[in-house]
Formats: sequence, structure tokens, C-alpha cells
Amino acid sequence: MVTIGNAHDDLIHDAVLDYYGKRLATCSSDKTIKIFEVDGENHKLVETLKGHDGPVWQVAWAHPKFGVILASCSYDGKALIWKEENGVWSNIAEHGVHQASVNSVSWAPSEYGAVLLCTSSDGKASVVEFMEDGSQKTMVFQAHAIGANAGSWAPPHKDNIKERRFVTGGCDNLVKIWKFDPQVNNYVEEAVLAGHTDWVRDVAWSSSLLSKSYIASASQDRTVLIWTNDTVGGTSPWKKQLLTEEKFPDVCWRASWSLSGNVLAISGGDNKVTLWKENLSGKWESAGEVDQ
Amino acid sequence: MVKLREVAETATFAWSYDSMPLMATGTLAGAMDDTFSSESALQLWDVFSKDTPLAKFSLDNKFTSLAWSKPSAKYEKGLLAGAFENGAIQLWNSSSLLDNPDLTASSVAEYKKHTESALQVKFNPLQGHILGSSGTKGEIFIWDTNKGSSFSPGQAMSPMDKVSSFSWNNSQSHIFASAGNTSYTSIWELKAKREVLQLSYSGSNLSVVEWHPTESTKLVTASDSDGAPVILTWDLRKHTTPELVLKGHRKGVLSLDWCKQDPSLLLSSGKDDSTILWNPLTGQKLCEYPSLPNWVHETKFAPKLPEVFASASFDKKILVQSLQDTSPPVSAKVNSANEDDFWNQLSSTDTQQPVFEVKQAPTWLQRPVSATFGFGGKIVVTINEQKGSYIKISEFKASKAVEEAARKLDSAIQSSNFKQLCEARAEATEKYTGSNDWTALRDLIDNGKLSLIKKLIPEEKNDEDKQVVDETSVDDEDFFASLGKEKDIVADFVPSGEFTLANDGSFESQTAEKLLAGKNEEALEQCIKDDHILEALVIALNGSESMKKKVKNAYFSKYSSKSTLARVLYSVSNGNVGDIVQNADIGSWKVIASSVLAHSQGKPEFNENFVKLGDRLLESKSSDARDNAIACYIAGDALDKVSAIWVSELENLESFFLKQEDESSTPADARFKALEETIEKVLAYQSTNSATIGSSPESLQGLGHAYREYAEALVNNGHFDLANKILEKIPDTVPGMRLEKERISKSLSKKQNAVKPKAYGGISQASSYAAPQAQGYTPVTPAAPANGTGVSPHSKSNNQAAPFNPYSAAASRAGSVATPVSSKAPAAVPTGLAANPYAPRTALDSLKLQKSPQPGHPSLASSMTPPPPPKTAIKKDVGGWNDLPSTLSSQPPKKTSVPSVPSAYNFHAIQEQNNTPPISRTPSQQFGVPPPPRTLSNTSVSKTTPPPPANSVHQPPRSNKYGPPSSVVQSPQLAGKAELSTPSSGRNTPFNPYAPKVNSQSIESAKIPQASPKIYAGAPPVASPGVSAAMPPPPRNPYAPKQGDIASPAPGIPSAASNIIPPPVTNIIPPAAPQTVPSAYNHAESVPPPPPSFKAQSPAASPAPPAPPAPKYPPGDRSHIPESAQPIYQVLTSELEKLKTKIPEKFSKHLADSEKRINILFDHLNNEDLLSEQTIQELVSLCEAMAKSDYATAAALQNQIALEHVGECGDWMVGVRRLVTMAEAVNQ
Repeated sequence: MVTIGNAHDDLIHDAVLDYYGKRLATCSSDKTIKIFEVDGENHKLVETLKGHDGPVWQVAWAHPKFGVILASCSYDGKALIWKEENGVWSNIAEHGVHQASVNSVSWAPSEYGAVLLCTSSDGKASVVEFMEDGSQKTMVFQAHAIGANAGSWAPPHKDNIKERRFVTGGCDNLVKIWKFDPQVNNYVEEAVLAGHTDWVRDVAWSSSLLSKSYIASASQDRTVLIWTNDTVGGTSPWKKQLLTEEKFPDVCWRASWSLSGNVLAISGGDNKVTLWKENLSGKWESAGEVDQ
Repeated sequence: MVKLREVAETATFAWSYDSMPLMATGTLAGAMDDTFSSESALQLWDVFSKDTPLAKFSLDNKFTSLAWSKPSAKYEKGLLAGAFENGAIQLWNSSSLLDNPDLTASSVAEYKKHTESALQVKFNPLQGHILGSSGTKGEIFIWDTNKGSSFSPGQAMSPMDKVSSFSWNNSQSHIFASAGNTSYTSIWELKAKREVLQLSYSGSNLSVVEWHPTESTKLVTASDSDGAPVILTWDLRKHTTPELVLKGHRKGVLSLDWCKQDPSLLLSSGKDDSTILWNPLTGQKLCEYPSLPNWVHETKFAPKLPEVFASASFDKKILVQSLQDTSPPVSAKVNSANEDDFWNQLSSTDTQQPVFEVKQAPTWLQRPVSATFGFGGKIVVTINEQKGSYIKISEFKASKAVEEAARKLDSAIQSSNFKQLCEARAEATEKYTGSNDWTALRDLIDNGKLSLIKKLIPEEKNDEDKQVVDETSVDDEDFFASLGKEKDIVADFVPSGEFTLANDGSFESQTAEKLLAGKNEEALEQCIKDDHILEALVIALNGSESMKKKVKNAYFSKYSSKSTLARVLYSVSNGNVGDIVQNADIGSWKVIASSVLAHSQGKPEFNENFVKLGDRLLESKSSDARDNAIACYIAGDALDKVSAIWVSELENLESFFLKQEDESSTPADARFKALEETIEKVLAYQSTNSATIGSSPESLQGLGHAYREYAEALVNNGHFDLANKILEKIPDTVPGMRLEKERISKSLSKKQNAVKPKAYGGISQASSYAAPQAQGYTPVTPAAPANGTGVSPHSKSNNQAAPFNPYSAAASRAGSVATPVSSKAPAAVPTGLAANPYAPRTALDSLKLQKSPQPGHPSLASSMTPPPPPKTAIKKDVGGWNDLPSTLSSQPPKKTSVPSVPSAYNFHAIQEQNNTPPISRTPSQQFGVPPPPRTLSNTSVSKTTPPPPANSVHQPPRSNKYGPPSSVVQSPQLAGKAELSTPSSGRNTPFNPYAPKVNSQSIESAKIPQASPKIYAGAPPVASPGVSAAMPPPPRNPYAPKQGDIASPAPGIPSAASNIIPPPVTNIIPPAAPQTVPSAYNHAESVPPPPPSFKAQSPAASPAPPAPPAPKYPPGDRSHIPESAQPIYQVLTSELEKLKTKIPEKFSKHLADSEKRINILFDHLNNEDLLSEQTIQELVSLCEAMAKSDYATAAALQNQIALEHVGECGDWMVGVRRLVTMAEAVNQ
């Protein structure tokens, strides 16, 4: 167990390990991003990235095949792309199409290229593709009437990588599934999932390779819904199921799946992180709590 | 500004509590618009999607205030309350308003208690059915909307007039505040039923009041006076003076709204037409929103969506906008040099933008906690507490299923023995698709790759096959013995009686004439032409090849389409059953399979034929097609095909496991079990020697996927090492594989401290290593350091200017001491195994490694970097041969798919395995000492930057000579391994016996500067073909001649390099490139053979393959064979040559094999190692007997040597024995 105290001067909003589990990127209301190297029980601060003009909400490591690349998003309405080369970090790109806080960044499955999904308080989602020649290809669309809080990519389709999807959650209490439509060359709404009674704080599409698709949505209404679908894109509708009948003691801020997609961690406003697993009868059971 | 909507009304408004809030507007009393209309309307809007109202109702009176209650059980969209200038208060059911065009139908109640105007209505935030209203003449009423009752809040402290502001306390439902045109603000207590407090501020009236969203004692007031338009914050516990004075409005303030979700946000609006956002806790003005054309009498956050607020102006405008705006400033939008353009653009652009003075993120965006997963079962949690923020990384093991599987698999992999695993699986009661495979795999492991197919072929066929197979058996002595007698004697036919040669023009006579004239070819043509195939065949029998061919063609073209026999004959006569495999009725596949066994065995198309047969079986979709196809594929060594079948069954398996009710199980576990089953099958199959990766890694893509998924599941439960080992089985060339390996090894490198000890502890040396060490090996220890470090003693003695003698003495002593122990040599093996998991590393890691604290052994380092022998290659080549020499197994050697089975390389290895003479002990001992490699290779890392030159630069020459060129190239890779292995040398008990000394020595040696090269410079350059000229002579050479028969390394092993390259290291590298490697290997042959890997792969084989000795001369060198042994060399060589010309072709392979074995003997002789003087003498006698064709004597001598000098007899002896047998058979 590694504990990093006093990493930032203000609230820390996100901390993410890289592909190898060796480097940790953290971000904070102090407007900075920090990079730590984590080795066994030890950790070392290697860099502090400054460039955002507002709290930094989330960070995301790109797949290493694109280099050592980190994306960050901030209240300043921007997503920034950072790159490390020969130990030197620099800001290599800025994505500034949003008119309000950019609340989430997530990289698409690497098969799609260097593609970043952002969601913003202006209700829009944007998908930026960073082309090899350095140019960017951007698609922006209204995802939620107001306040898109989170976005998460579906794992790549088994047979057809052109079939790209992601899920977003917003302040309209809705979870929406988006699918790329080559005809309009943009993402179109494929399904609207209603079930929460307050803001959807986070959505997470499980990367599980099980035949079913799983999406977890965590909400201000102190519940987490698990949405499942046997044939995504097919005829069957998404089914919803409460992770647990009993409400959580506080707002559910974040839902994240383990890498193999079988364990769900729910971060609650009471600073508790609980873990959940599905049993064979399809019920979700507690798998413990992360010790603080 | 991000304007969301503009509603063209002069109205008071209220937000609903919906997540996407609706807005209600009511025409404002006391205000005239440009139409001077006296009409009043209540309207409902969805400002997020529509420009037009959802509903509109006309009323007689204009509104002074609107309030929307929270939803309740009774009113799902809440109640809407309106206060009117005539003093009435109206209540409507708001959901009914949306559905019902008739306003009265939605009316819930009308309260008429205010005597003049009602000015303000507010619902209690905690008791939603309680409504407060205030009006002129100081009238305040509290309404219970459920009962319709009302009461007065009690006695005022002083007379009031217009009470235009009313605010409920947000945490105490019985507290409210009121303000109006008196200069003070009143606090009321409903339990006490009286006004309890008055707030006043000199120089300013307090006309607007609003409570803190959470703290019961705090509130904010504002002044509508233009003279002192201040906003004050108060804490009632200190009510005499305000806490903060917020200045910014230029004229009187008319409205306040304190954000319910974020106490640090307060909106105000006023007569200066502006709306301002404050942080009332700090007093900072955050933002001024664009001004409206007239007084802004009201501004309100949407209660459930505080990102949005609305401001209502007297100028017939209600503006709905977002709190945030990060769009670039107008100046950036309008950028034209031309003045006209500028104004045009400006007018068409929304020029109005909020001016943010301080960017303050609302708290609802500030996620206080976050947990994310990381590679390797890690979970990262950020926690923000009052005492501070911190990040915690912990590890999490999610799956019991994974734990169990990992344990089983780990032990199977460690021992390289999958039989147990297969048996356990085969015994499982549940039956499902592919559950029979386990029995098949068990047979496969026991009986070789053809066992499955033979089982399926009918009995009688089976016998025949056996014969065929046995013929090819290398080991069948009886066969050789009978070889000479085997010639069938057929009595020649002798015709008798008279006959005529008259030419009657008939076919017969014409042909006979041609034959008599010697025109055989013409006669043949004639026969063919006239369809006398039989005669044609007889003619061709004695004719040329082309004649034979001609007849054959004629025969087949005529008959093959109608006659099965002809068709079969066609294939058989061509020795190629491809046609049968391709075209024969698949229903008789067993016959086809037998034909392949009978005719293709040992031929390159053998595998191809079986694969084709398998393909056809699968296509036929007959019952059992799958199992039969698997048998065929296995016979054909088609890992890709076999695994493709298994992988394709993954989903079936998954659903099978899903149906197994198990309380603790999860769907992910079911998936994992399916994967586990599949991967274990493949691993078990791979553990037999025949499975080959094949030349097209792409064909393994599906398998690669499964491997990766499985490995990730393991890794996410913390089983890095196991995942690593499993991935080693798949070549990097399989798509996606390299990245995955890199990922695991990279993570692993960081984990080394944590993981290593465990990994080592759990690995096989625990059993196999420890035991030998305890018994036999220990005595050797004294010698070990000397040899183990190989180099260091030298360096040391050099340094001390010590004479050489001590060393050779030591060496010889070591030799003798070691003798009894020799069979225990395997000690080295497990070490290698242990290192395995860490094998693949990247250059990056090696860089990292530089930091690792192993300063001591640079010199050794480089020498320790051997080329990574591709495990599969080794395995494959070695596999069948491995069994052979051990003599323990009478089983015929397995035919491996690679025809060139016994590379010289292998033979060395084998030799090592079998020969356990005292002398050879010395070298092997060196290898038996595990620690040096580690330390060494470790250092090599720190020293060695990837490019080969680095090595030579950094290291004393001797490093060069020890490190064959290939090793240099490979060093980065190795480096990684070394990194991990390093620590173990210190920690791992098994190593301890050796470790200390070695370490200290190697450290010493490290201290020895570059001087050593000089000393060695004079050493005779020993020819070492495998090792490039760039390599300076091995330092050992100087001693070699002097040592004579003592410590001379096996000649078969090229260059001194092998000395140093410790088996463990070699062993570490197993995965690497499989098929592609052999070529690289040949080159690498000059590099030490990794005998241990034998051990690793086939634990069942002989107990103790000793480590490889240090050869003095490269293999193939015959120039140093001593006089005394010359006859052996000469006789055996000539016998071999003679045999080559005489041996029937089908045994030429056996001969080649024998030759290789005998070459091993020559290498020993050349290096003067292994063989004792007595053995040599006896061999000489044997050869003399052979030269005299006295095979009986030769055979007897051979037996005698084999019996009396068991320790010296290795593979070479098998070669000698066979040579004698063959020579006898052929020459009789």
C-alpha cells in the first residue's frame, strides 16, 4: 500500500495509474497535475504540470503505443494534452471547443487511434481525433440538455471496430448511449436510459469480455444502476438493475470497473470506496471496501 | 455569456424542482410594458427546449410573486403558489396545469387573508406544505396547504409596513426572516410566535433578506437604496455587525439568491440592471453578468440545476443563462481590420459576456473522492478530508477462481509436468464439449503425438503401422542386428521349352522384334500404344527412369479414374499420399490416416497431410469430427489448428460454467474458468515436444487473444510472474503479444522488490534444488567459487601476481571432489527455472536497473550475457533426444517435426547429461553455482547499454571472450531478467551455500582493473569458430595445456564463453523466438548449451543433467586429439565413411545420428576431457577390432566400456554401439 499525502495544495479530484501501473497522474483544484513514479512501496514526484486556469477534474493516460501521453480536463473549459519525451513534459495540444467546465476525458480503445472523448458542463460531448500529422479532427454534439458529467467508451466491438460506442451521463439524470454513424460522420444517440432521479455523476462501461455489456451509472441520488444488454446495437433494450436496493449513505461520485471488468468500485461522498461483484444469479454482491 | 433562453415577459417567475426544471412566469404587477396591457397571464415554460410556453392561462390579476414547492406525494410536480396585487394567494397543482387547459381545474386553493397586496410567497424548504406570505401593512401569514389553515407568526417588535422580502431558514423550519421598507430585517421564531431579532446597519436599509443554505445562524441582506447598495452577510450569534460587506452594485439591490448546493455562490440583481455572482463567504465578487436593459427585479438559481439561473427585468425580458462561460472573449471573436466589418460582425455576434473576476468552480463539480483501477489489481483512491488530501494505492485480489487456477497452473509450469493436471481434469465428472481432450492430452503426454491418431485407427492397421514406425526407430537394436540377414531370397525363374520368333506382323511379333533389336524404348512405345501396359511394365523394369515414368503415366491415366487400386497405387508409387489425403472419401479417414502414417512419416509433407486431413474432417461435420480432427492436427504438429478449435469453444465453455451453480462464483469467474481450461489445454499440449508454433503467427491471433485475456486476469490478481511465464509460450510475433509482454514485464520490473522473494520462494528450486544441494552438492562447495566465477579466480591471482599453479591445483581438486556428486548437478537447473518468469525485459528496464545497487561485478557482467536460446527451439530439438540417452526409457525417440533434429548443440547438451565422469565435473560445477550468473548479468545491465559496442568499451577484454557476440546483442533483454534475479542471489536460501563466496570473489574481481586483459594478451588464441575473431582468447587457455587432463573443458562446447555463461541464465530466456531461431542458434551453438533447460522441459528424464562443462576447443576441432587416441579418430572416421556409401537409404538418418554422436566423442578426445586414459585405450582396441572387421570383439569391448566406465559414456557411446552394429550388418 502506498500513501501519498500532501500531494496538492487543494482538493485532489483524480488519480490514475498508467498502462503499466508504474506512473501515477493526479490532478487537483490547485490547477496542477502531478506525475509520480510508483515503485513498490515507494513513490517519487517527477513532474508538476501547470497550464490549466482552473481546477483540473480528471486525467487520462493514452495507450503507450501513442507515446507517453496524458490528457487532462479542467473547469477552464479546456482539455489539454501532455506528452513526455526524454523525461521532459510539455503541453502538445489544446482542445477548447467547450463553453464550460470540461468534466471528463477518456481515451477511446487504442484500436481507434488517438481519440479522446470529453464531456462538458455546457451539455456537449466532443470527440477529438489526434491525427498522425498533428492535426485534430473534432466532432461536437449536444449530449445532455445541460451538464454532461461523464463519458466512457465501450470496449471495441469484437468483429467491427467501426462500430464505436460510448456512454454519457448528465445533470438531466439521464444515461445515454452514443453510436458513431458514418453517414452523418458524427455520433448519434442510440439509447436513452432513464432511471436516476438526480444527476448522473459518473458512467463506466465495463471492458469485460463477457458476452453481455455492462454499464454502471453512479448518481447524486445515492444509487448506482447497472445497465446490461445482451446484444448491444441489436433489438434488445438495456435492462437496469439497482446495484443495491439500499441507498448509499451519500452521493455516488464515481463508478469504475476493474481492468478485467468484473469488479466495480463505487466512490461515495462519505469517502468510502465499496467494491461489488456480480454472482451467477445476476445479483450484485459486496466484495468489500477499500481500506482507507 | 451562454444564454440559454430569453422569455419576453415582464414577469415574476419560479423554477420547478425537476431535474430539467420548468419555469413559471406570472405577469408582474406594478409594471407597464410597451403595450400598456392590463392582461395577466400565468405561463409554464421549458426553457431548455422550447421558445413557446408549454401552457398559458389568463388571469384577472397581476402577480407580485410566484413560488414552486418541492414535489410531494400528493403533487408530483409540486404546488405552484402565486401572490397577487389584490391580496389573494392562489395555489395550483402544477402537473395538472400542464395537462389541463382550464386554470380553475388545476386550482387547489385560494387564500384571501391579506387585506391589501400580497407581496411575497415562499414555501418552507423543510416542510414543503408550509407556505409563508408577506404583504403590505406588515401582514405576514403562515399557511398549511394541506389543511388550508393559516396563522400569524406573532407579535412584531415594532410596526411594519410593506414586507416585500420573506425567507425561510434552511435548517430550522420554524425560523424565517422578513424585510421591507423599514430599514431593518426581522427574524421570526414560530414556536415562540414572535419576532425575535432585528438586524440593522447604519447608513443603509436592509430591504432584501436570504438565509444561508445550510448554516442556521447565517444570512445575507441587501439594500435597495441607491445611496448605499451593499450586500451584508451576518451571523446571528454576533448580530450587531455584519460579517462582510459586499460592494459592487452601483444602484439598489432588489433580489438575492443564495445557491442551495454551494454556499460560496450568491446571486444578486438590482436597479443597476446587472446581475452579480458573489462568494459571500469570502466577500469576493466572482462575476458580473451582462446587464439587461432595465432594473433586474429578480434573479434565481434553478434549484435542482444551479448551473442555470434566470434574471427577470422590467424590460420585458427574462434571461436564462448558464453560470459558467469559458468561451473566448468577444474581442477574439470579432477580429476584422475593416471598420464596417467590425461593426457588422459585432452586431451579429453576441457581444455580451460575463466578466469573471475570479474563476471559482462550484462545489458540485468538485469530486471529493475517486477510485480507479490500475494494472495489476491495483486500486487508486483519492480522499479529501478536512485534515488533508491524500492518495492511496492498494492491491486488490478479486477472484478466488483466479487464485486457485494460478496455484495449480504454477505448479504444473514449474515442473513442466502437465500430466497431473490433465489427469485431474480428465477425472472430472462433468462432461462438456472438449472434456475428452484431457484424456487425449494425457495420452499425448505419455505416448507422443501419434498416440491419438493410432488409437483411432482400427486394430489391424495399427499393427502394420507399428511396423512402419518401428522401422524408423533409431533405437531398435534387433532390427540392426537383423539388417544383414534381411535380404529375401527369391528363386530366379528360368524358362524352358522351345519357342518361335516368327514375324507375323502381330503386335507380339513386332514388339518382340524391337526388343530383340535392342530397341527397348520403341517396344515400350508400342506396348503403350497398343494398350499392353503389362508388357510395357516388364520392359520398363529394366529400362531407364524415363521409361518407367512413361509407363506409369500411361497406366495411371488409363486406370486411375476408374480403379481405386490404381489411384492408391499412384500415390504409393510416388511415395506421396497427398492425393489420397486430398481426394479420398473422408468417410474412410482412418484409412487415409494410416496411409499417411505408412508413407509420409519422416517426410516434410507428413504434417501437412495430417493437417489437411484434419481440415477435411472438420469440414465433414461428421460426429466425432472435432475429436478426430484434433487427433490429426496433433499428429501434424499444428498448434494453430488445435488451438483454433479450442479457442472457438471458449464461449460454449463459458456458458457451461455459467450454468454451474456456485454461490461464490461470478460471470467473470465463469469466463475465467473457460479461459483457464482452454489455456491449460494449450499449455499441456505445448508441454509435449511436438507442438510447434508454426511459421505464421497470425494464425495464432485467436489464441493470442485468449492468452492475453488470461494473463491479464492473472496479473490483475497480482500473479505477474505466472502471467509472464504463460505468455512466454507465445511468440512475440503473434499480434498484440509483444505489447502485452512488455506491459507485464514493465510492471514487474517495478514490483521487483515486492514480488521477487515470493516468486523465488515459490519456484521449483525449492524441491529439486534444495535436495541435491543438501546431499551431494555441498561437498563441492569449496570448489564452486573458484569455478563458478570462472573469471574471478583468475583475475584475482593475476592481481596478486600469483603463479598459475594454485589455480590448476584448485581445479583438479575441484574435479576430484566433485566426482561423487556429479549426478547431482541439476542444481543449476532450477535456478534457471526460477529465473524464468522474469525473462522478457525491455531496454527501458535495463536503464532503470542502473540504479540497482550491485556495484561489484562489471567484468563478470558482460561475460554473463548469453544469447537467449529460444526455449521452444531447444525444447523441440531436444525433446525426443532427451529421452534417448537416458537409456532409462526404452521408448523410441519421438520424431520431432524438425528433421534436423540433433543439432550439434543438442548433443552437447545430451552428452552433459549422461556423462558424469570425474573430470567433467569441474566444468559442470561451474555451472552448478547459480549465483554468479545473477550478479553477473545484473551488472551487465548496469554496464550495458543496449548497443553492443558499449560492452566492449566498458568491459575488460575477457568479457568479450566470454560473451559471444550474440550475447552482446541480446543484452538488453537479458538485462531485464537479470534485474529480477539479482536480489534473489542474496535472499534465496538455496543459493546461499554458494552465494557468499562467489559474491565476494566476484566483487574482488570487479575491483581488478583493466589490467587483466594485458596479462591474457599472450594467451594462445584458440580457434573458436563460433566466436568471432573479435573475441580475445579466453583467459583460461593459458592454463589449459598445463592442466592437461584435469580441468579441460569439453571440446564440444565452443569457446570459453560457455564457461561462464551459466545455464541458469540461458535458461531464463526460454520464451523468445521459437521457430525462427534455429538459424540464430547455429550461430549460437558456439555458445554454451543450456542443458538445464532440458531439465526444465522434461523433468521426467534422467534425474541429473549436469551442467555444461567448459570446452577448451570448439566442436569440430580435431587438431588436438592426442597421439594415443588417434586410432580411434581414424578408424571411426573411416568406418563412418565406408558405411555412408553402403547403408540403405532409409537408415541414413540413423547413420547421420551416429556420426553426430561420434563427433561428440571426438570433441572429448580433442579436449582431453571426460575420457580416462583407460577408456581411451579400450576404445583404441575396439577400433582396432573394427578395422579388422572383428565386430564380435568390437561389440564385446563396447559392452565392457559401457559397463566399466558408465560415468564417461554418454551419447557418444550410443553412437559407437550403433556404428559397430551397422558396420557388422552392412559388411557381412
